[in-house]
Amino acid sequence: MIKPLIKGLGVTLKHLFAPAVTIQYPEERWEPYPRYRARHIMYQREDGRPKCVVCMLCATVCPSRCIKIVGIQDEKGDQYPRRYEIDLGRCIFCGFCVEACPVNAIGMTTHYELDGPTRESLILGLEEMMRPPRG
Amino acid sequence: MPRLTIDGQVIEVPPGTKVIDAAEALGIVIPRLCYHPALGPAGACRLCAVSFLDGPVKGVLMSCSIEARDGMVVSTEHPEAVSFRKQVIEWLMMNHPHDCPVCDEGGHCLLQEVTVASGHCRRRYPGPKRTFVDQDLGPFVQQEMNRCIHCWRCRRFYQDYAGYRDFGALGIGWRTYFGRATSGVLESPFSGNLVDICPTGALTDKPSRFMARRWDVERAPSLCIHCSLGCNVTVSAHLREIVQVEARYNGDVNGHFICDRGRYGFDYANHPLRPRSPAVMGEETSWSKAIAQAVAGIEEVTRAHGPKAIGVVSSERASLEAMVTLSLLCEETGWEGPAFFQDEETLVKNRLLAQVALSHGIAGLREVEKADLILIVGTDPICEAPLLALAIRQAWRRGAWVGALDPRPIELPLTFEQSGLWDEELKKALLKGAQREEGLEEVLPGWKEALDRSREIVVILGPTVVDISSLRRCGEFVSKLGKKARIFPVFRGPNSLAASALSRESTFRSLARKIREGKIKALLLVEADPFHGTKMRGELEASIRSLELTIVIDYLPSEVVKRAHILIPSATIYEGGGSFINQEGRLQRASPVHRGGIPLRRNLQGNLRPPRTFAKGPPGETAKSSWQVLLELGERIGKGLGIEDKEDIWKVARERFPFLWQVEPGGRISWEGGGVQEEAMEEEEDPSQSSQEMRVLLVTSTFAGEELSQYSSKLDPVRNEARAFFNEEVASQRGLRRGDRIWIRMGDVRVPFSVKTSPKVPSKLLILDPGNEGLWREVREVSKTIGWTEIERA
Ligand code: SF4
Ligand code: SF4
Ligand code: SF4
Ligand code: SF4
Ligand code: FES
Repeated sequence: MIKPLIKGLGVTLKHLFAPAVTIQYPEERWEPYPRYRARHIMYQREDGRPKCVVCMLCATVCPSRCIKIVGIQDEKGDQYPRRYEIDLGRCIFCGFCVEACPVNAIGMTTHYELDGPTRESLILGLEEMMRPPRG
Repeated sequence: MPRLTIDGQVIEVPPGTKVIDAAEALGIVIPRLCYHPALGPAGACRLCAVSFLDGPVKGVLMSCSIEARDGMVVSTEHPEAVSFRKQVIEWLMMNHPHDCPVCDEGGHCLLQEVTVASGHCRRRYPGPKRTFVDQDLGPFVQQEMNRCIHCWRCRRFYQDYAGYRDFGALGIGWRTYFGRATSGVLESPFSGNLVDICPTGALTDKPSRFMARRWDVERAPSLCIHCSLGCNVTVSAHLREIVQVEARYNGDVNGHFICDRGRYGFDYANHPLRPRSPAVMGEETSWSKAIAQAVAGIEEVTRAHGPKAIGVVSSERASLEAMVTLSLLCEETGWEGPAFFQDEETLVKNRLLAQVALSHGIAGLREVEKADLILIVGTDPICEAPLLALAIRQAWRRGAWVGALDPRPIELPLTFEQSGLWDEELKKALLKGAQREEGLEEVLPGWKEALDRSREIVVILGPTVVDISSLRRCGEFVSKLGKKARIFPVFRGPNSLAASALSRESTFRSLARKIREGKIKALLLVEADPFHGTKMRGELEASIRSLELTIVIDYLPSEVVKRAHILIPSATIYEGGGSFINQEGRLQRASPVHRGGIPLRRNLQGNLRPPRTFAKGPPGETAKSSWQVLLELGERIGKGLGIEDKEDIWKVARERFPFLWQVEPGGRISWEGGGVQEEAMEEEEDPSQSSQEMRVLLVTSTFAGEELSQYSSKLDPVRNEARAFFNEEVASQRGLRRGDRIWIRMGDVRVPFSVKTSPKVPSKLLILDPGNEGLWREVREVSKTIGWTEIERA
């Protein structure tokens, strides 16, 4: 009866003097592991256009159906997206799109601070995806 | 009948069946790339190899090229055959780009499918791939020759099946190039079929390029309503927009193919000006308000002038559901109508044609393909029913004799005799031809000989250019030919046969007359635009302007929609589905494809995001078909028909119009006709007998002139300009040459035309093809005759 009580108190005492695990956000920021999955990034070709070739595989594999793509082709026959939108309000950050992409055009950053005043502001366009915020 | 064993299952097939088809009948699909049921075997891809273990032939052989014979034992899964097929794929992929992700065919690609199935995934051959320079083949077909695997399907279709020569195979061996001599627009009005039959991404659909993968689209079986043949199609919609129409196999109707008008005419459903919300006096309102206004208006007119003061107009493109509802509603309320045709002459001609054809045995496309003598009277197949030209060509390839009696210079992809007989001469020739006198032999050399050896005759008959008595004469002519002759009627609209069966005496012209007399004060137009193809624009405008109330229910941004007091948008065939009776009396149904609404892509222009609002349906959705709107109107004015849904309509219609509805969808109706009052029509005198004037014949062409496809932007690049066809001699006397530009004065406007000449055009006739109708918007009245003083050089 008394033994478990002492054991429990011991745990409490240990945590009382151990260093804190919580951080003082936003003064302090958490650094996630590099493999952490958050805000998407669209990689670029050498000429600055998005690397995506509009194969629609990410849009297909996406379980929450939040990717919309409209593609075009240049004179050389290279295909690239004219519009590429991910609705972060619906995205579940499963990372399937990244896995599906045959040309490694889309990736995920560790930028986890996603917020916005409206639903619309959570829709990530091509420009925003090509220029991810630092951090 | 040969009996053979395939993978342990025994099957008996008709002689001449290929082993690949015999296997398919058992549910065993042997992979293939070059074999196509309509085009036959080519033995080009070597992919259909199977092992013949026993019987007349042995070893690994091509199942598409070998006919089934008694005692064959075939194994499709023999290790030898499997490894053979695997290596075929590997060598096909040697030169093939490994980039399905950027290929527009990816997802519905036959090559992709067989490659994945074969397990090929690593390229062992390190050498360079064969590459080609692509051509621009016009607005419909996108070429990417690097993806070609040389199955020859495209050339076999384009040159052998369809009979056009500007696309074909160039070069030899693995460098064979499938294209044109130089870049340019494909000449064939069937070019879109290349997209369907090419098993790879070498030829893909240009208008729907990069819009969506096959699994992203909403697809449903539908019908083409751009002519009276009623070809079966599969329609794809994506993000509230119709993106693609493909041929759907129906062995009784169109077979495997459709024409480009049917394939690319769908864009009227995405038209930016398409009415999307109800409007009263041009101002958008809610559904309930518009309906309430319409009801109030109808009640007011009825109170003041009686029910006969309301005229009802519909057209040949309305669905059977709409036609039936409208007929019942008119009966219930006593409104004047419904009028489905422009004028009495068209009505009588259509009815007569339906009656003549149905009583002589009506023919469809399959009968045309089997015929050995085909006589075309008053029809231009390529312009009025494009796929008919392909059917005629198939008959011709089997040795049929083809002759045409039509004043237009008809173009068909085959050799045939044509004579530009017209009117009296035509009647005389038919009369003599029926009595086996020299009548037809004189004008169509070879007629007599062909007639003597023919077993199946099809007379293709259209009501547009021939007059009523010639139509009747043609009926007599066919009945003289005996049992083996059938009539293939070509109507103007997709539902003309039903319209002629359901029509009463009213026509739009008779209603217009009553409007002028002041008897009709209000007009209800259901999927009809009287301005389309009218010769009497001025008169029409005056009549419509004098009305107290115009209610329009339609989905096109038509001219009458712009003049409507109350506009209620309706659903197209893609949103509401519908039933149609095609030219051979076949009842067919189309399923709804999507819910409709304003296409999302329109919002994507500029940098707007799709609107995010809370609503029950998609924005701009036109949820109701015209028949549903009509039912609601009927209910609200206290004349409910007791009909709730489609099933109810069909139940009621079965009782009321048994001749139309005794058949199940897919079957042919039997209608003995009736109610063709010959006396009603007095034949007009030929006004050009003595004078220098030429009679005017208005015609349409493949891509310009049909009502729905007029609104399709996809067809804009191939629409022809306005053309005037003259007799060659007459034209040269006047110093006109082919290609000259002229102005023709009509009333106070001058319309530009490009001159075409042909020896086939009768000298007293001037054939005008308005082409892109825009030019005609100004013409108030097209006169019946035109003299040389009204023609001047541009
Ligand atoms: S999977 Fe990659 S290449 Fe394909 S559409 Fe998505 S981002 Fe573009
Ligand atoms: S043609 Fe078919 S197999 Fe070839 S790249 Fe395109 S989708 Fe892939
Ligand atoms: S273009 Fe297409 S249809 Fe023509 S040969 Fe090549 S793969 Fe076959
Ligand atoms: S032939 Fe007529 S029904 Fe067939 S696809 Fe062409 S327009 Fe449509
Ligand atoms: S399908 Fe038999 S060889 Fe191509």
